Amino acid sequence: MHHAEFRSGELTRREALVRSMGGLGSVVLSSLLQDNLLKGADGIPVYDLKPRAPHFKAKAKSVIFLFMPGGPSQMDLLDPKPMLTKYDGQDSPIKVVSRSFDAKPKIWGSPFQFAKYGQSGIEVSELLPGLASVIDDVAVIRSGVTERVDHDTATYHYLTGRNTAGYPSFGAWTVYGLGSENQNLPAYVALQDGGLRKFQSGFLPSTFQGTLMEPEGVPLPDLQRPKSWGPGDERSVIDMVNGLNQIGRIGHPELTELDTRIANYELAARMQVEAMSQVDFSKESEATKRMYGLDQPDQRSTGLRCLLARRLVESGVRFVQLQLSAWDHHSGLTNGLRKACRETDGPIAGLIRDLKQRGLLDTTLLVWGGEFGRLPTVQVKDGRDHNIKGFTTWMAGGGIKGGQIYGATDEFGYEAVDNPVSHSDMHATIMHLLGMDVRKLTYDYDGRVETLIGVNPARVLKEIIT
Amino acid sequence: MIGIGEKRNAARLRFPWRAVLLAGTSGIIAAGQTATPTFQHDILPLVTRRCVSCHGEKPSGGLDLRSLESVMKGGSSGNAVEPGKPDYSLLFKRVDSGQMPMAGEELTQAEKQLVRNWIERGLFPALQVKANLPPEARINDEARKFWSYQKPVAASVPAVKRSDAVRTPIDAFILARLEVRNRTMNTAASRETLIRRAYLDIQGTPPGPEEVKAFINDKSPNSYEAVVDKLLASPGYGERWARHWLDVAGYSDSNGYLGDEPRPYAWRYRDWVVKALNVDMPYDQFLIKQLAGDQLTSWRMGEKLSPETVDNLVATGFLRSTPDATDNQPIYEIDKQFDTLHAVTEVSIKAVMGMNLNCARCHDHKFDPVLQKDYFRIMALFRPAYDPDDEFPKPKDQTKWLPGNIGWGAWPIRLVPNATAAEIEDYIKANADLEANRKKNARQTAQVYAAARDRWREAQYSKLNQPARGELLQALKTLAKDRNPGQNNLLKEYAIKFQIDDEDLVAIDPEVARLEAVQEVENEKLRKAKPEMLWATWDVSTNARTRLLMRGNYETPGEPVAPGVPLILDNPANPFHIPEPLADSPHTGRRLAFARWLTQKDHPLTARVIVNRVWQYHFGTGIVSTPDDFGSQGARPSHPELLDWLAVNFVQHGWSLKWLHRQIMTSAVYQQSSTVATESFREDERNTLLGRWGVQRMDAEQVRDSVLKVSGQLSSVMYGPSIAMCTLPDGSYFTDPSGRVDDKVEGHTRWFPPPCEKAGATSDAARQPTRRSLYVEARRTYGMGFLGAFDAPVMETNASSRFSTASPRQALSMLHNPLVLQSAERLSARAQSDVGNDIVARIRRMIELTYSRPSTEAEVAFGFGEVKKQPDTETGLRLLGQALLGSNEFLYIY
Repeated sequence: MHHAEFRSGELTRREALVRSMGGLGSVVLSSLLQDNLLKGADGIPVYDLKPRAPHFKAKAKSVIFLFMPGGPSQMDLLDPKPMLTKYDGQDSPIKVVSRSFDAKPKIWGSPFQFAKYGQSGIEVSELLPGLASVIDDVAVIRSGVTERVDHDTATYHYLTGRNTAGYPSFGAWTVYGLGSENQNLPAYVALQDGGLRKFQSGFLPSTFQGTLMEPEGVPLPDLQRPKSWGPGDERSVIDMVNGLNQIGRIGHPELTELDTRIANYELAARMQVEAMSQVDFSKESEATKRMYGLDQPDQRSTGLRCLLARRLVESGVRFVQLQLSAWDHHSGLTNGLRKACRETDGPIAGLIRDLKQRGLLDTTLLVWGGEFGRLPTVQVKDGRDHNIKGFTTWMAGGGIKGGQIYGATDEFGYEAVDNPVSHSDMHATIMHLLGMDVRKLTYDYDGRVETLIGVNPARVLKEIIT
Repeated sequence: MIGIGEKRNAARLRFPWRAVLLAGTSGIIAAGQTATPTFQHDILPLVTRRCVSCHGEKPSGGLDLRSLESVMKGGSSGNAVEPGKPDYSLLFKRVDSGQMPMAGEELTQAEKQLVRNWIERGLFPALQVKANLPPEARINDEARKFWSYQKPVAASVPAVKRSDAVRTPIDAFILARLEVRNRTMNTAASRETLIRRAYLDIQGTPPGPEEVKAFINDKSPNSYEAVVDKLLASPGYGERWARHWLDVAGYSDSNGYLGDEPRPYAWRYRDWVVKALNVDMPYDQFLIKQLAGDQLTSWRMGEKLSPETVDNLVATGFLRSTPDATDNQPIYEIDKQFDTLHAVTEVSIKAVMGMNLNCARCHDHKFDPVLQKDYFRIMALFRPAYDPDDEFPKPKDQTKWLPGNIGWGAWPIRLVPNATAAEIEDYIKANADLEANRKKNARQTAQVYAAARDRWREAQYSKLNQPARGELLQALKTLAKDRNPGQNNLLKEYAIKFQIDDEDLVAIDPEVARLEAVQEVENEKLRKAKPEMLWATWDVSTNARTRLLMRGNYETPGEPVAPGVPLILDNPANPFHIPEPLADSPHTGRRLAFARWLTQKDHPLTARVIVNRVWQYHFGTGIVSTPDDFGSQGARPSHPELLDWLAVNFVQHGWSLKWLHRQIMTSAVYQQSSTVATESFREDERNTLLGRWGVQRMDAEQVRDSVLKVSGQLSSVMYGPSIAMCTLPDGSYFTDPSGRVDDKVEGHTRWFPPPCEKAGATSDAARQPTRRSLYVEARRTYGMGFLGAFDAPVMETNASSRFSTASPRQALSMLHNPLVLQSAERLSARAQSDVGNDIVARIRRMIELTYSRPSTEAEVAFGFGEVKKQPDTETGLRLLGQALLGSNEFLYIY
């Protein structure tokens, strides 16, 4: 791990690259000369979270990323396939490749009913009545594709743009590029409903790492004052730190970092007030709480996180990542998928509706999806195996043209045949909506100029943008 | 846990799994409107996989698709590609119609679209006429002239004007460059500053007030040198500097990836590093053991190992430090094993050679004279130990024992049991008997627990107030089928609210406790001690072959590559070679040959790279500021002659790291003051010329260990399993006081650290949460929150230098983290036990303890005033203690 800039007086890596490239393509050159977003006046990189201007005018200010780990079953949710019903129980007429021990190439028709909703008339499964009610705000992408068929590497790909360890999550890239509008809250917040934790900053400084926040109790690490403290104790400690810093022996007025550290104590005090107020839901109306399903025991966990996501975005937090429920239905899909939808559908629909009524949906981009999807064939007797050739995700809000379907799978829902969309395409599109060119948001690491997408092809899905 | 049966299934099914990937869409997603497709990145991966088996070396129809040049040449049917016109291009027409590939599946829609996009809008650079040179032609004398490929030669120590300021040769080299700019070294730091700097540098914690006082009063000419020697001889040296090397190695107590299971035997490698540094093991030996310890002695699986073999095997934990999800699910073994193999290749070469190979995984390096083939030559050195391929069946004796029962999870290729075959069989049998016993008792166990849980829940419900209690009891009394939705919801809600773990039931319910006691007696009779397990690297196959992977992708193997070293570093007069391994030897000797080549006395990189790392850890920045990259993309040395002088003399002094530390620390450069006039600071903000001491913030481990030390809590216990984590109410992780060891015990693994509130306190001195940070569990996902706040790295790969941020999270930690709160209290108490009840004396003592220097009157007066403002003295002193720990003077090395 080394830093982007090197000693003055020596040939810096940047200079070396530019010099040694001579006649190479102008594309690389221009991205290097793009002024480093993070340079202080003295040319030394400053890794902070102050708001920074994007490359061009943004359509979205913040992102709520709804990650559905495990791979939701597209043909049971948002990509109806009558052919599956027709061939239900029969040998698959198309070649379906499964990597599993016990997947039989027998077609399995969806056990769920679909109907058309909204003005757009998009077909939605009976499992998602909430999403159906706001479907005109949603762009359904039915042609997701990815590379690796196991959860580990596919999840890495979805969250970091590469199918291996060590790379920053796209939330980290986002706040590296844009900083945050609220310095009293973390720029990148992760809200997890149990499960795996992936919001790392990879080779980027840890400043850009996601911070885990709890919707109840103490929302942030080290935020809460100890119960044993009197009301003035914290103020006293801060005053004493300031006093000691003034009369201490360390000196060094030239080191601004020392001043930053002093200022940070004041900032910490403000963060407590602000973060605690984020999880104080008492001012939310009963109607709002119901909208997020807080009165339903099985929706409460998701609902609290969705409600907190809205409050954070409202307060200027740049990126909120939610990981909700479990979607890896190799068996017991009928009940399992019903349960996962029951837990998440109402609160997510509530989130969209609430953002809209507050005028926040226009500037908040919602992204929903899993690392891959599922096969049209049956596994065991009530399950589906992983599918990387075709699956469904959706986006809504901030710059997205709602009420449309983008891309298509074949008639069995197996392979994307129209406008395939990779995770890198999604990343390019998300960054574009935030006003950034994914290829120009660079970081020098390990002798390479890194971007979120690396050498993967990536395109902005202009067709789904307003 | 994955059993033996499943493992075998996995092996059988490997082939179809590979077929899936070959047919998959990996890497070839349609490039669209904004991207400009290129042959190298977009088309080559596709044609390599789908076309090159015919249109390659012996091109069918004369069409060779392996390079842009050859594609543009076309074949016997004419031009294959008309740029801009896919519908007139034979290549597109043939694949679009499904005529091609003639053998194998038709291209997917996405793949066809990709070809179309490339022809329509791709980059077709004017093809230069190039002599048809093999890539090896780049490795020429011109390329060898680059500084880091030349053998280091010790320059003569330069003459300087201010020769009075020179204490060691280092000073002369530094001063010579300063004098070029008409500058000189800064004045010497004060005695108290110097001793604090040296302690934090070598032991990671500040000196105590008595040590400071003794040093200030010691007027003997060699008093400073004596302190340096004392520090280097103390066990704390190995503990502090092991942390640096473990950063370079990417050490972690877990496997990484999403599961991130604990890696319960890795700590022995961590301890090995501490011991090796403390005995000043020559650096060449240090490397040889870590890279090839398994090949230094003769040993076999299923035999009792000699202590020397055990030690050597533990050292190879170095090569097992990378993320490794091989056992996550056996079906994914091939790609996970390649992921691991790539990580080992890249991280270990960066670590020991400062050579960045990452680019060469996919293609010849664009700037450095490093070929893709070089990458795979090196990979071939490591490959026998990882064997990602199923072409070569593993020796039967290994697979027989290791999966499931004896190892940990299904790690047939990661752990060596130090036991005879018979002992292993016994252990496996004992485990099977235990399992059978558990099954026999399962029904009864479940019933007893369920009944206890019901009793507990009803007791909780009866404590509720009306009307909740009445409603709930009514719902409970109603038969399930007769309940209304409200009652169902109510029960669900309370079931969520009132949960109790099995462990807690044992503690409160006598019937459960009785059952457990009876079963424990039975189990104890059956149980056998687990054999010693070694987390090690060794060759699992003796004939592993390596192929170059086109575009770095294992699905597209290319030509075979023999194990070797990068051509640019191979001495034609004495080329790298691997001696024939002894007959009947279970290893290939490849890594040993590499380690010996690497530790030749005049190797251009080995000594320079470590000398530079050591310099960096002393001064904050290396002579080469990119410690992992000595290539053209890295920085140039700020003082090349000094680097070489140090490298050559380091080797001449027996590769002794302690010699090197002594050279550096006794130099005048090291002993300079950090305080300079602002103008002088502005002249060289980054301190490239080293005309002063550069102020450093303590790193994460220094902060935590120092907080513990000054408050009198730091445990001096060395070695052993890592201190596990528990979860605080705010979701962050903290040292578990219960003494729990993160291990998979009889099928039970804790992936998530359990709640701290439930953890009791152990009396075992070796398991105290006040151990040094080196012994605090460093899992890749569940690292200690306090250390993370101060930029302890998450070892996704390795960390050759640390970030030093000043985030508000650090202020919050210094205000509220339980570690700091407890330490502030202990600091105040310690001062009281040291000097009695006098407030002023206590304040003075607290300042001396935290700042490692005598207090000033102004400070004492300030502290006294603040303490007096508080409602009582103890509160005041506690808060003052906390403020001292959070102040800049404590947190910085200046």
